[in-house]
Amino acid sequence: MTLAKKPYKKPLAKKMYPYFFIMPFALLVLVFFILPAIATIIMSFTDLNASMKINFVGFDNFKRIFTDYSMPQILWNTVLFAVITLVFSLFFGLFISIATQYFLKGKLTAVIYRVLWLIPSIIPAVVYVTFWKYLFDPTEGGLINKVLLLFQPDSDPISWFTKIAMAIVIIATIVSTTSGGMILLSAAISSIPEDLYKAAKVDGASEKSVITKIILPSLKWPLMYITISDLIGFVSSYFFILLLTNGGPMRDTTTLSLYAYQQAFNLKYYGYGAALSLLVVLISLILTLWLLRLFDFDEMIKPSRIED
Amino acid sequence: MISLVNIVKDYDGKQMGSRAVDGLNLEIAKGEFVALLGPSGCGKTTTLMMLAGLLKPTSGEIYFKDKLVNHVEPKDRNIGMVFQSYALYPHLTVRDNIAFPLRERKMAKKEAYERALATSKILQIDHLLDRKPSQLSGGQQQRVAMARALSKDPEILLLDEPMSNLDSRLKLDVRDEIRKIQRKLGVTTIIVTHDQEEALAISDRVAILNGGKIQQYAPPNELFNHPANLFVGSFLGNPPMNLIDGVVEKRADEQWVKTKLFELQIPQPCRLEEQHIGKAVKLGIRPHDLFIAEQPSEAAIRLQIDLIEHLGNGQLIKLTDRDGQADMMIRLLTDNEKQLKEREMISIGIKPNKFHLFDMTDEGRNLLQFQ
Amino acid sequence: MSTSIAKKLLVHTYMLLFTMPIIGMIIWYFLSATLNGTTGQFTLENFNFVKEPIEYAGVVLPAIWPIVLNTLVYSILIVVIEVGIAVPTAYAFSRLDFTGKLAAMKFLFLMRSFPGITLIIATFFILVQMNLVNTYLGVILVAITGSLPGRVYIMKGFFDEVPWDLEWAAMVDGCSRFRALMKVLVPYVLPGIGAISVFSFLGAYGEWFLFKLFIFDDNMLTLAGYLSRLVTKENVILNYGLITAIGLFYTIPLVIFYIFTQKIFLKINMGGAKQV
Repeated sequence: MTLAKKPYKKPLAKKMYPYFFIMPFALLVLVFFILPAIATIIMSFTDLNASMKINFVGFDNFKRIFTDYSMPQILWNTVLFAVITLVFSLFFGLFISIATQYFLKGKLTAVIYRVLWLIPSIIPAVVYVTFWKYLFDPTEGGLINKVLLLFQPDSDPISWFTKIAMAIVIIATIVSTTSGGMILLSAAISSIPEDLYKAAKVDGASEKSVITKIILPSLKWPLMYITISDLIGFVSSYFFILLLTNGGPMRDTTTLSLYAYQQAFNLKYYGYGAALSLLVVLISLILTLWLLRLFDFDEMIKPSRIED
Repeated sequence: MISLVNIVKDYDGKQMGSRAVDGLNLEIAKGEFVALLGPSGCGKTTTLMMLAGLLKPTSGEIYFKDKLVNHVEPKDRNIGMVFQSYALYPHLTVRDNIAFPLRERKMAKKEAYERALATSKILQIDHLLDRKPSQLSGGQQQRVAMARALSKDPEILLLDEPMSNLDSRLKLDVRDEIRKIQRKLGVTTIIVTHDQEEALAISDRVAILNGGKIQQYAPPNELFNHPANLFVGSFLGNPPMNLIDGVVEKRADEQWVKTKLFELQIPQPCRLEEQHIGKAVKLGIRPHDLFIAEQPSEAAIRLQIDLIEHLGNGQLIKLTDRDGQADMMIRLLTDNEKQLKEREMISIGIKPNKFHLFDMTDEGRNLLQFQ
Repeated sequence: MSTSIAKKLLVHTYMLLFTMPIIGMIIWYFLSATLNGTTGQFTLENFNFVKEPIEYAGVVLPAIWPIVLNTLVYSILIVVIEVGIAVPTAYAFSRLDFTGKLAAMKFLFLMRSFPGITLIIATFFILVQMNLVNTYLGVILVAITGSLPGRVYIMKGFFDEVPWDLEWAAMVDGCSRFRALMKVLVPYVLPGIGAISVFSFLGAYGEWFLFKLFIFDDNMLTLAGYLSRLVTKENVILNYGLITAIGLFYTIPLVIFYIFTQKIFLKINMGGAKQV
């Protein structure tokens, strides 16, 4: 059989057409993501500071990271903050979603609990932190100090933000981030077919085995996803800490990313700040790439079914 | 009107090198109703999509009225198309759905609505014009889809499994109606279907596709009576054709087909070429071309009834040889009058000249040419 | 059946216990804003800021209504720009073929989970170089670059769900691909556009960090930026009544907005769970 001479080739205009659609986005990404990424790397090799003079100093900034006497504490703070917050918000997210989607499924109370737990994440951060500031206010005006004063009228108000600053930061973060995981987990639980529970009941399964044999296995993927994406968030963002304690007292609640921010914007050590950021970038990048491995890209990218 | 010349379509991507259509040639006359029939994955839908211009052939040429249209955009091909899912625009009313192709041609709104009304009257859906597609039944949606395809007075109408989402009774009505409207408007129509009954009933000619190639392109009767090859023979017909292994033998001046159970003489006018003598063949006999012999005769084949299925308008009898040596299962279709019992031995015969011989090549060419 | 009641009781006990701080928090906001700090009497004097510029920690704060106007202008600008960029980008990723699509999609995904905030120092200098510090344009450009990957991802999901039949039909009915997008696809993904609009609006309404960093003129602040300046001004807050009153003024419209859009909101959040 004779086949025709030339296979079909897309004209150039049609090849370029899709790029027109992604152009604005691509430009933004180039200028405000890729460029900053490159600039961060370059800056981390300079001693750029308030004087705005750029001198290349090689690996000095990175050497300084290893000799910075605050570093051990800051790294420890970062790990402590990220791990404890993660563990507790996972636990609460899991508990609430199982309670509302399994034990109280379809009940009004389930809806109320879920909405209540959503509130801290909806309330703007700046308003949210005022409650925690009030709760642990170091003067007698603070709620906890007021209550303590009721029991022990002679005692002095306790300066909570000096004593347990890290705990306050962690609690405030947990209460606000739990709902994110809760929503994903609830969605996963509600997609378990009702028949499975019925079958388990018929087989005489206990509540415990329903949870461990039916519910938990179906949460494997969302749990993985929440774990990694929360970790990325806890390691890299510092908004609550900035608003609640600004890293203090001393450096008790300063995490790595906040430290980078402070070095750059408070002390104007831009070069050193960039080097510290780069460390956060590296950790985030590793976590992000791990997260990406969870996705099936071939499944997600489908070719067009119209040929231009 | 339409010519497809050596059309090849490769899908790239994951299944690299998978060829959906492989050197397809097809001529369709003006006003003709043609069906593309075949099992799923045979390339029939791909062919239709290439006619619509939504897919581009890897190689080969498509002509509409002698004009090469390979690179003509779908919108410039003047075609109407009905999809399996009907693909009505959910945000538009029935009226706006039907007027959509007209409005896209920059026709004034008033005129477009008048045309939409006229088309909807042909399809008897003029009372539904203000509804949204979600408020319509499946049959009504199908009519709206037809109306939308026809409103712009297309030169070619493409139907992609248009009836597969309808229930079986409605299917018959719609089938007749599509045929009637097509005759009335004289629009060249190509339907893609996997339903052979539908294809044979509705079209002037049927192209049977398998593996991206046309197996046979002929009017329905011809396909049924003179299948070009083993695929067409076994694909068409329900219950399917009996296929029996045999060998061609030459005895004096006569040619015979010998199977494990019986022998059959090949009639003089359609003698095989010498090269087939001694070669294995497939003997194909349709279930309704077998009959139950009243008196056991020399030529009759003695078989045992294995299973009787009542089909309503007849009974399908599955027969085996008693000792199972030939390992043969034969289906026979007979009327309801016969009183038969399972395990009973009967004699069957073959209606004269009602059999086919296929060679054992991959193609399975039909060797007989009965007139 | 008594075991079942006991079980429910146990679940409720734990849930109430866990939820207590949140309930307490909500009650406190209202009490703190509406009670006089010393006498405990009901009062609306904390809401005086809606009438006149007030003094806090020895400084006269800018009047509230221009700030509200800034907030609306900024939020609506963000919504319009994000939708305007996310829709065509998502369309291209979902429906068009182009060289580098897979790589670009992987990059988009990387960006979606990657915290852009870690690059903020360098971003600051780029804005300085472009003379965009202390301008809305600068804040907007940085803000949308951070949020667009998420919006594009959600929007792509909506485009993926448009049946191909529908676009085929439009093409046969006389549309170019672009016209099919405008006449058939966009109406179909309208719920998705609504969803990302809500998300964009909420994000813009809550933005305070970029204002803290890039905006030095108090008169250009939005409500969130304004509040963040009050909250971080001193380590100890002097007047909770005033701050919670402004907080409520800021939050209540948001809660009302949320109640009306929560179905969409939940749908967006599910987006992450879809890809299993």
